[in-house]
This record gives sequence, structure tokens and C-alpha cells, in this order.
Amino acid sequence: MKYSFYVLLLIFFLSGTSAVFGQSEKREVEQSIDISEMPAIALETLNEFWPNMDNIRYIYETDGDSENFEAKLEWMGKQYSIEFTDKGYVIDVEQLVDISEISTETTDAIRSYLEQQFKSVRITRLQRQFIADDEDETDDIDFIDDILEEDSEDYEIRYEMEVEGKSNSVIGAFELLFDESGKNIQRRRIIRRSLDNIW
Amino acid sequence: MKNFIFFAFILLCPLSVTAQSNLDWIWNPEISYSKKASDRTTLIAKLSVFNSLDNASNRRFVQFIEPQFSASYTLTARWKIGGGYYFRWAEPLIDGNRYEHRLLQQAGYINYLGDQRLAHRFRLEQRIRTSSYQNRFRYRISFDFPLQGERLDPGEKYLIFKNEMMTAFNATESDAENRVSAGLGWFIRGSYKFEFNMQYRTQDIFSGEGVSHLLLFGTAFYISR
Repeated sequence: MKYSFYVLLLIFFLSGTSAVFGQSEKREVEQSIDISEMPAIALETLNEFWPNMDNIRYIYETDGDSENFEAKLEWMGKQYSIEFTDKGYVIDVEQLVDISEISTETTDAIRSYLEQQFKSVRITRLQRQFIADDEDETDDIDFIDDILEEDSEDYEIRYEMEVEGKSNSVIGAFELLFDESGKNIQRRRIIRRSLDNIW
Repeated sequence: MKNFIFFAFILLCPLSVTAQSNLDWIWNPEISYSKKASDRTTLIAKLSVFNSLDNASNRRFVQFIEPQFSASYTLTARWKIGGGYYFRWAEPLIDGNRYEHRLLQQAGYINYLGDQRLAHRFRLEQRIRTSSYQNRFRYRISFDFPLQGERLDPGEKYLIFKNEMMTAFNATESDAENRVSAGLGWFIRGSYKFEFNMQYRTQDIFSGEGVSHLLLFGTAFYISR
């Protein structure tokens, strides 16, 4: 009886795993990489502003169709994340901020949106996104220069916020995107991993 | 690489106690199926088996078989409460086997730092055995994090560490136990993961008859829908 029980258990495991591996799916992958795996053009751009900075973390991302690269660094007390295409051109720059660093008008508009959407809400992460205006789209050096010099006429600002919220109809974590005036332009639910192994 | 060295160190630490005479070696295969019944409610069915490696050649090999059924309800984005029923069939290959019915109530609080999770679980249990009854309170802290990058993607591995303290209390018996474990998990894809863990238990702390030790190798397959 002892052995037949384990044979049955083994068959169950094997049948389950073969079904798992037999399926194809779109894979989203994000992993830390070495500096040597970054596109050369991206490294040239980084080196222009932060030469010899050794605490930059490099990340590779793919959803199966496209590939992106990301550099995360801390500069002047702020955390930056710079996203590049697979060729090494800048897509956008994100800066981790506190809500108190945003203008009162924008903050009021964001808080008003949150109050309308949730009965209770907690902001867990807020990033300021810098998106290049047309003229800088092909000139990454100018774009980053504008950001560091706070020359806000040459880029568009958005705010990406992660919240944990609860209303009568929904509960969970959400990613919200606001324009510079605080108007919500996107809302996505963050799918968290199952808790079955820690609950 | 540093993570693997750290993991190996944690795994090997309990081996230092193998010289002690009262150490039991256990292999604990588990399979868990969980399903979200609604936005807030999750149902979990699990089968857990305890095998004594010291008795691999006799009928006491299977120490117990335990089907478990539980449900959880999400109170907030971080707090959950739940309850369940476990049935333990002890030494099923031996004549005169024994049973245990177990009721449990629990609450959990989860902290997120990106895809790193720190979970606290508080559990009350009522153990109704063939010949006795026991109340037990358990507190467990768990921490898991991806090994590659900031987010756990399909095909990637993660590490998980847990420590659980528990105390039994009622009129006729009281005791305490500690369980520390380290595990390596593989997130196969969205609904499937597999974990290997090593757990070291310090048991019978207040029994007055000497502390006993248990070394448990766990293999767990999780399906979540």
C-alpha cells in the first residue's frame, strides 16, 4: 500500500508538470544583468552624465516581443530609473519622489481622484516620469540634460503611482498614471503573486 | 551567487545537530490547490504527508496523511483572516491507527517591498485527538524574494525563509516548539510553483523530558487559480 500510494502521487506530479511544460505562453521577464550586456549607446549616454559611477544597476526586460534595458541609479539623493530601447536609445526617465514634492494643484487633483475611487487608500510608490518632447526624441543627451537642469519646457511630466486601495467593489493594489495636472489617464490592477506558500 | 552561498549555509546549519541522538528525519511532500472564489475569498485544499526516513523499511514509514481545507478572506490590501479544518490520519499502515480533527482560525498581515514579501501569521488551533484535546497558538514570520531581478517572473527561482513559534496550552498539557526553515522555490508559470525546503524543529521545550529535534525535508507543489 505504501508504494502504490507514492506511485499514484508520482503519476499525479508528472501529469501535472507535463501539462505545465506543454503550454506555450507569452513570457514577461525582468532580470539583473551585467554592464557588459547593456547596449553601447545606452552606456555612452550614462557615461556622459555619470562617468565612473559604479553603483548603477542594470536590468533587462522582455515581454517576448520587445526588449528593453533599464539603468537604476541614485544621484543627488534621488533614485532614477532610465529606460532604453534594445538599441540603447532613451525611452523615458523616472524619478522616485514623495507626494509632498509635487505641486499643490496636482496633489489636490490626485487626492480628489483617490477619494472618489477608494474608501481607504495608501500610496506605496510614486514616480515622476519624464518623457521627451519631439525635438529631443532623437537626442538623449539633451533630454537628460533638460531633466537635470529642470528645464521643464522640453519634456512632458507624468506621475506613476502605486496604491493599495479598497472600495465597495474592489480591493487590492493598483498602478495609476496621472498627467502633470493630476488628471488620471490610466488605471491598472497589479496582479500579486499567490500567497499560498506564506499564508 | 552570494544568495546561493547564503542559502547553502542556512541549509547546512541544522546538520550540526545531527550528532544528537533524539533527531527525527522526515520527508514531507505536499500538494496545494488554491482558487480565488471572489475578489476577496480564496479556498485552499492541501494534502500533506509525513514520512519518517528513520523507518523507511517498515510500516511506520508513513507517519501521517493530512488533508487540509481552509478559506481566507481579504480584509484590506494587507490583512487577511481565515479558518479551516484539517484531518490527520496517523500511521495509516499500522493496525489501530489514530486520528486528529483540527480546527483553526488565523489572521495574516503582508508587507510588500516590490516583489519581496514579509508575512506575519497568527493562528489558533483546536486539536481534537483520539484520546486528548489541545489548544495551540502559533505565530509565523515568512520572507520570500526573487533571486533574479526585482520581480519574480515565470521560470525564475526565489528564496523563502520562515520561523514559527508555537505554544500549546490547556489543563493537562503545555508545550512549546520552534520551526525554522529555508527553501528554494521555482515559479514555473502563473499558476504553478514548486518549493524545496529544509525545516529544523525544536520540540517539547517545556515538557521536562528533554528537548527533541526534527529535521524535515519538504517538497511542495502549488497550484493557484
